[in-house]
Amino acid sequence: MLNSIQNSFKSCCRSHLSMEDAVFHMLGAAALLAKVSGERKFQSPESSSINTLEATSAFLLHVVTDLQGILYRKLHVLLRHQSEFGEDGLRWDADKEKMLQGNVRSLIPHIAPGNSRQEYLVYTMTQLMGYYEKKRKLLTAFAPGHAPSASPWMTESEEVWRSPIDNRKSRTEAPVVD
Amino acid sequence: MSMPQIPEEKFRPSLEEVVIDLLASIALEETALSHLIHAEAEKIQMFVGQYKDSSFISSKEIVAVNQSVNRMMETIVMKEWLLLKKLEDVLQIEVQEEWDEE
Repeated sequence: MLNSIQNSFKSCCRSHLSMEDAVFHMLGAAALLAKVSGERKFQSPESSSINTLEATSAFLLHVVTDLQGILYRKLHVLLRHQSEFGEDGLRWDADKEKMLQGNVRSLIPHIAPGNSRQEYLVYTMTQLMGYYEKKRKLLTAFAPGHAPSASPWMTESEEVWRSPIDNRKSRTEAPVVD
Repeated sequence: MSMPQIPEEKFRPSLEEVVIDLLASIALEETALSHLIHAEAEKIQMFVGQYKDSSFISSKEIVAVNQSVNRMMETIVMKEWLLLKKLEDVLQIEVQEEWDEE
């Protein structure tokens, strides 16, 4: 790759990192909104607006998941052309996992058992976590030694989002997002 | 009716310069999108943060903010998808050029 083209390409790598930062920020905000929605359900569980609240909160996560999917694909393109990008500070971010865990715990416990929206939410979460796992593996492949080899949260509480339909305990827990 | 003619210009960029400009435009657009996402996230934080007790926020207000963020995020997702396609196409030009040189 010619040097000046490479410089422009590096700008694309930097803008990709800005995008990842922004998605991380949005996940935090979505968790905050999910927490408020969850509290509202505790305060007035019979309210007719709860369904709408749940649906819009889940949809926001769905959109973020779509974006993460595109970013994953773009990361693949970037790494294919400039493998050192993997060593350029882009790595699996454990904070994102924690944020996502907050989202799961805020939303899932408050959705009624057997509700189809819960299944939809779990599907979305699974998809999102899948992208993070794939991203971690991709970075490990391109920049070995720079990405953590295991995702701590996956093994610890994967049950919460993998099989929450039968996980009665999780539904009674209060939101944990600060 | 004849075909439109593009007027001659004094300066015509080379293929390399075109690739550089296209890559720079992708980076700039993406940076702008990331600013938009930050702004939407801050909007949520401001909305939730203005109430110490969430019981003062009506469900209608929460849904309105959520839907507004969703609409913007959907547009950003579409744009990001287009940028990815643009990046792939620009890199294809670049790879093609290298092959032609060989």
